[in-house]
Amino acid sequence: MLVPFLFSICLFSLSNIHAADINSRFLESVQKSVAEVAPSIVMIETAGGLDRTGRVLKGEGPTTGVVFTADGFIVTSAFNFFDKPSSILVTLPGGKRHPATLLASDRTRMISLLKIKVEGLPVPAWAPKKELKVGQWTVALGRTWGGEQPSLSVGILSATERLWRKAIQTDAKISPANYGGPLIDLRGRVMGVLVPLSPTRSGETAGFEWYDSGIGFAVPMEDIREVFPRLKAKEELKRGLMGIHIQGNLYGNEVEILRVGYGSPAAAAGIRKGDRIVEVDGQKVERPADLRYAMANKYAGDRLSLEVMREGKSLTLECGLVEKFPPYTRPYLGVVLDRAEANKATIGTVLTGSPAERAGLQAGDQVFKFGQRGVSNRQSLQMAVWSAQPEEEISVDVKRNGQDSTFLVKLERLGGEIPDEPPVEFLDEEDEDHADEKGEQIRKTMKSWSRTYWAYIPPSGGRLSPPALMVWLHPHGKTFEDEILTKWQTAADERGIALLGILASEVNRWGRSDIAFAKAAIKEFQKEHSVDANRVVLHGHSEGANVAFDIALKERRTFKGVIASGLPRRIQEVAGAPQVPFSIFLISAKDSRSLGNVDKVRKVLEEKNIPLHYLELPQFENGYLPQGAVEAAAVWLSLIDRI
Amino acid sequence: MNRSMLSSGLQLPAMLLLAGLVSLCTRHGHGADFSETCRKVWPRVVKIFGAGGIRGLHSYSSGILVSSDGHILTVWNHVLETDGLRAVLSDGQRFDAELQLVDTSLEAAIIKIDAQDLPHFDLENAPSGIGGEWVLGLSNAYKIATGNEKPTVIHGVISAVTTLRARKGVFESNYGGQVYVLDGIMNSPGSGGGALTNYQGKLLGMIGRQLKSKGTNTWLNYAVPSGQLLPLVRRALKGERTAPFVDENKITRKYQGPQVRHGLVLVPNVLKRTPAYIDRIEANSPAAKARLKADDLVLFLDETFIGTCANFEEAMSEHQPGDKVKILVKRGEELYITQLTLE
Repeated sequence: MLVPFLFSICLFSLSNIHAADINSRFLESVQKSVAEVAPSIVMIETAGGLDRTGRVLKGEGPTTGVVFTADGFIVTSAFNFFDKPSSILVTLPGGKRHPATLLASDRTRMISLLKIKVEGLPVPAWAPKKELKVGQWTVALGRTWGGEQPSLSVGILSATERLWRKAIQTDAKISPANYGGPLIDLRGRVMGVLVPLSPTRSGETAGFEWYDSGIGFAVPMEDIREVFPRLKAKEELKRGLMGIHIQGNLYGNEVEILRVGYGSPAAAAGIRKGDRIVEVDGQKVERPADLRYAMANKYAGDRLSLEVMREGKSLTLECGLVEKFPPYTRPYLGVVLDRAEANKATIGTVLTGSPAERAGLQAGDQVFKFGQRGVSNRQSLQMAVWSAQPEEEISVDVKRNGQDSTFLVKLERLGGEIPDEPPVEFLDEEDEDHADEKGEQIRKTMKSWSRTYWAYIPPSGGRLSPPALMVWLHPHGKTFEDEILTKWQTAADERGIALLGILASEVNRWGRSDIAFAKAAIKEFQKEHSVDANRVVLHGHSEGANVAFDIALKERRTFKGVIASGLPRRIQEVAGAPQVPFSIFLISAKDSRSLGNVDKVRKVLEEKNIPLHYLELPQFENGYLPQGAVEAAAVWLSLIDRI
Repeated sequence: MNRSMLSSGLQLPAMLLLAGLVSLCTRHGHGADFSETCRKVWPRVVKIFGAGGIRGLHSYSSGILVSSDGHILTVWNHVLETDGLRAVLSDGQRFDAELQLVDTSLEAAIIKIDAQDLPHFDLENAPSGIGGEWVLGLSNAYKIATGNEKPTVIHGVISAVTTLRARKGVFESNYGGQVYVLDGIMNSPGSGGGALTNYQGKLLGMIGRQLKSKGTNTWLNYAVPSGQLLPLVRRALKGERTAPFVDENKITRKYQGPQVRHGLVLVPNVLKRTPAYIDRIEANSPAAKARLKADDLVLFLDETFIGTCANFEEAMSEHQPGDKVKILVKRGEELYITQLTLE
């Protein structure tokens, strides 16, 4: 009977360990683990900086960091510096303050490294990734509230290997109150550093929208240790790009390359369309997601070893990673193809002083191969030239008088200068009598819009090809219909340029509907009147120049350039790409108000390698261009299809 | 031999133990959960309905019974500004309520219903909370409980015990005393006036009205500790009444003291957050005596973080001539601490 008695005592004591005791023991172990890490949690204050980034306002309160090494390296979240403060101050537990330097950040994980000049800081214990278990207790710590004790939020580990294995996840409440602070386990070890992260967006404030939501992220301490030497060496770590486009979705069952970006590391590594990636740095790759996992821990400047399958054979290639690709540079051969023969790639004119002239190419040569690419028509030769490297030496195979010949051409970059040529025309030599021909003026109201456009169609002049098209977008306040006709007509007749004038519904301003109407009118005009699709440009003066850029940037395949006598606002969006040629003829007058920005605009265009012809006038003439400028623009337009 | 006797002798007690444990667990509600506590606390939290319902203002809030005869502690806000105030107990009983006492600096009020023998919290013996402790928040957040439905219970821990006024201008609140910052989402529309209890069901505090912290630019979850509320409750239980509508401007109006001279000229305050760089130092001024220099960045005045020109002006405005102020500046990459004696 002794034994049951003993057990009933046990039973009695067990019954006392109910809610209260378990809760108080839990509290004890939370407090104990917090106490272990607390001496390593610092407060960060900043001075100066922006008020907001996008829609996120910067809080005025202090933020949090974690001691990383005894000699003053502090790891924290890049969120805490999104306002680009001019000064950073770190306060250690106990109140000692030190100015801090922001050394570098890992932009893929939003971790920043600070340095303060101090020795003997307490370094917290940390938990390796393999010991993290979903469901275990976690405590998130911050310094926003001041005081001796860090603020805390308790939760469990919700997931490991989140966001392409960049982060672990917790349901503790994560917010600016603890971004940069540690997520610890109940043994007082740092599991990771708390950061806002988003699966869909990047940047310092991405993921902030999930604050206190129960979805919070921390970057594992083990991963931070890995990048620490690079951050310490002030290397700004950014996402690395190869420059490949992949077929299918993330979980498809192969990684086949659809396209290799122009000037990308992938192109430099010799990766080609159709290659299948099967291994990256020794890791098997079976679907696009595997590739993404393999790249999640890589940065711009790193190199990858790739195994690819090409035509049944396995190749090993080395590929670098870059933060961004160089802007596209359009190569220049120096010919105008015969516009009358779109189904052949026949050289119509060899431009003076061009690479083609130096190589010995002649008018009449029919190109059938450009480098390694077979060429059968105008379009395929255009694409072959535009896909080559500028300054590349390339072989051009032509038929001349029934004989095959090969010429070696050293390509150049297409610049903005206007070739000094007589009008390049492709005329019907048997039909010489055009003296009586007159151009045609049109005024048309589009029924569905109840809106009107005007146009001028030049006489054929015996041309075998349709005219180029200049679309006129007037400035606010005046349509300049008469001036355009007067000043452009001679050039239009001589060089074969059709003019199309769009009228804003209120002459005083261009509205959204005007832009839609302009697009519709241009489309209708192109349908009803044959124009050369390779030579369609927009021309805007003053405010009309802005409208011209707006339309041109939205309809890249339709418009090959803009003649702008006024400064565009959306210049940052202009970007070059092989398949969409785009040039700009920019005219400014010294007396115009906006001249101050001309240099800025030119610099942006230069950086983006957009062919720019710039003309600076002493002044405009009665609010529009003088005759000379119009003639230059007409020549520029008539040769815009040169390659 | 001994071993087998022992093992057979163990069987019965082991079974008894098991049975006992099971029954205990049932009675106490699964060991470490909060079900017992919830049952105990529910009847002490009420739903309050009053003014609002327009311009995005909710017309409901929560309250805590603090006496057996119907004193209810709640937040002082627009909901109470009506003659048609009602309180609904957790069993569904409805009562007309009357505003009895208001403390605008606490942002708290007592309303009274005509009833007896009500379950209530005893504020005289309420404990204090500590960081990391499990807590429960009970309220009618989002007016989700109707009729005799019980208030919503949300659990969390106390993140920090701090004061709202620790940093000036961080909160748009009259209350500047101690608070419990919570890690559960406890402050929602209508939850103001709800109860914050520990896991044993003892009242730790009252859930405050919704506040956005300028410190973090996030919504704050917090409660005002019972100890802070006790004097108000005592006054109410003694029968004190107050004129209900106090001009709040009187409370927030600042005392304008005599101008102090420090001799420190900051760079022009052109931005919202212009860093507090010293532009120049007036000759023979306190700043000159303290050997401050142009281009120093003012970071702290005593224990107040400065950083911006605006913060500097605000912190200085609270001082009198003759005050000694510790000033910390950043000069180049070094910190420099000195003392200003204001004139």
